[in-house]
Amino acid sequence: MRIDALDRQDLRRAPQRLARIVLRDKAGLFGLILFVLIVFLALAAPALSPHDPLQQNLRSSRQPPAWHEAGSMEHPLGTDNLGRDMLSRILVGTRVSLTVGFFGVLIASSIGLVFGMTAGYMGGRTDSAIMAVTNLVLSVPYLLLVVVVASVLGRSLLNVILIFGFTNAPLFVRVTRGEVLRIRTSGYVESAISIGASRHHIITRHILPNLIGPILTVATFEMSGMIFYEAGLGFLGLSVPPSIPSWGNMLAAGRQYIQFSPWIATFPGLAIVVTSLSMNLLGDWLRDVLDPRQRRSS
Amino acid sequence: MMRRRKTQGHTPHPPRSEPILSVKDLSVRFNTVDGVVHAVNSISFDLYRGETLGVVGESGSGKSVSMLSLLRLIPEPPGEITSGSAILRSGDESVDLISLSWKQMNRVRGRRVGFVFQDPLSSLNPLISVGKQIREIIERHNIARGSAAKRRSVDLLKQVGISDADNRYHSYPHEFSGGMRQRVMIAIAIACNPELVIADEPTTALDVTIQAQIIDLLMKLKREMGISVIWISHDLGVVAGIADRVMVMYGGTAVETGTAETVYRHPRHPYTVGLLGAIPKLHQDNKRLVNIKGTPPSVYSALRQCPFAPRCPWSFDLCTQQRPPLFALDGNAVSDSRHTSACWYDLEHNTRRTEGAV
Repeated sequence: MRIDALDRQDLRRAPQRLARIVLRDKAGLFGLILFVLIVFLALAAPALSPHDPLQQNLRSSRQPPAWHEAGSMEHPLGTDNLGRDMLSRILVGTRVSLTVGFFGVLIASSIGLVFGMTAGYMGGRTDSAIMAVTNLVLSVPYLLLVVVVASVLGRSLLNVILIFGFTNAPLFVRVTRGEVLRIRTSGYVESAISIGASRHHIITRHILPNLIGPILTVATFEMSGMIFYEAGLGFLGLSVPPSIPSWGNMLAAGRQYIQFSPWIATFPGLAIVVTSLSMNLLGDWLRDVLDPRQRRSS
Repeated sequence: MMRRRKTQGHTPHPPRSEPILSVKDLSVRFNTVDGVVHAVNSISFDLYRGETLGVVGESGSGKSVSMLSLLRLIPEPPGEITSGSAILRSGDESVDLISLSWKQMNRVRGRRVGFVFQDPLSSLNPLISVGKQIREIIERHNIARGSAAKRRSVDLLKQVGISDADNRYHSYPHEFSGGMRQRVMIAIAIACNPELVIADEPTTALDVTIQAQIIDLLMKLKREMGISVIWISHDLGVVAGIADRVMVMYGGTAVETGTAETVYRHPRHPYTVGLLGAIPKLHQDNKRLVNIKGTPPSVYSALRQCPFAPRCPWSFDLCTQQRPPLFALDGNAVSDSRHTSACWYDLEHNTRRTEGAV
């Protein structure tokens, strides 16, 4: 690939530009750092965990956190009712939450992008058909669907991801379709047609790039929502089986002991709040960054 | 042969050359849920090399739709070109734009016919630098590739009067003012050396000082590159200054055509007369401006009468019974600078017409 002098200059300017945008929004920066940290913790969970998260020890059950007078550094965040190390369980639980959030959004946004673009670009009967199915899916109460699937197929991570992926797809279909309709009738697509741009060029150069911003923003908010709902399902005992440490399961287990051992429910609750917060901040920040009108060069 | 021709008497003037664009009997309608909108009703015109045709009319007169439909830029459906041909000639080669496939049309758009739109603020993709947007059309039509295409884009930016073009190549549309964005749109329109540029109210969204600059720029490029221009406008003043010939449109029909000079000095259609009467004049007393009474016609019904008849002070029974054809006014019906008017009433002699259409 030949890159001439002007292009090189452009490439040099890009990181500085990005740095300026990142530093301008302090809350977004905080969200970004928090999110990166959470992803890192999820990936490194086995190495960072001081104990096996499944190792029960009834003799040291319900030990308070280290800063409590009865606590010890052996279990920094204490232990649960079965004597399992809270810190290790929270760390490993990050994996469940992020997996559900990430793959759930991946499935939902892929479906949404394909059908939303088809509906928005083709219009007419294709559009009506896709929107009819979308509304049908929207009208299925997902909690009921989860209960049915969980009782028929059993509780599993894959089922939760699939259900979240499909039930959240309509939102992405609608957002994508709306954006495509807006972009398709925009001045720049009209002028692209007027200078002989091919359909392929219009979709790849004009529609898709201008879709990424809104889709990514919705995706972050949706991911935060899915993490939230996964914990809710876990609390109801409808998400992953109890053998897998997840924040929702931990919350449910801690509910009985909230009066005498509040840390068992508090720490997973805090983890959920912090993760959701970081992603909402990140979503706000992405919305600003991906809008080129925010890219002031001076 | 020569002698026999001469003795025929009404031998047409030899045309200056073949027109580069001949539009015949073009009709466009929109099939909407409220009914059929007859937006353009059989308009015909010729355009010669290096000539500027001013298309004047108020909103809804069909001036934009007729020109957009030449490049099939109207949404189809609901739009539909129901009749007509538009022959684009270059050398010996001629194509009928109306019968081209989408693929063939894409080789005409931007390559042989450039388009400048009304709103430069929304006509550029906000995510792509202005230089790349010019470069893309150059590469799309295989004019140049790689660094040659890039050099050409920078040259085009210079040509449309953007200073510091080397650096401005990397700017994004939001970093440009409205006037500069319109300059970029013009650069895109002329990037592939087109034969024709259609400018659809290119200065309407700009303030008056910038308007003048954009008009000067387009006219300068037209002269330098020998481009023909169709200038769509509702501003009679702008068109008077730049057009060689003028086509006045009303209710989806061409009501008067002729050289700019003739149409402005000797308007022969009541609508043109009304339009010119509504222009404020500096050297006259501040009398109340004369307006045209009534509102433009509904275009939901097929034209079986003169569209201007309900507002016309000269209308008589024939006007509401039959649509007037174009009448030749200068007795020289086949010259390309002919003056025509679609009106049953002869304003020059104050008589009613019954025949003598072109």
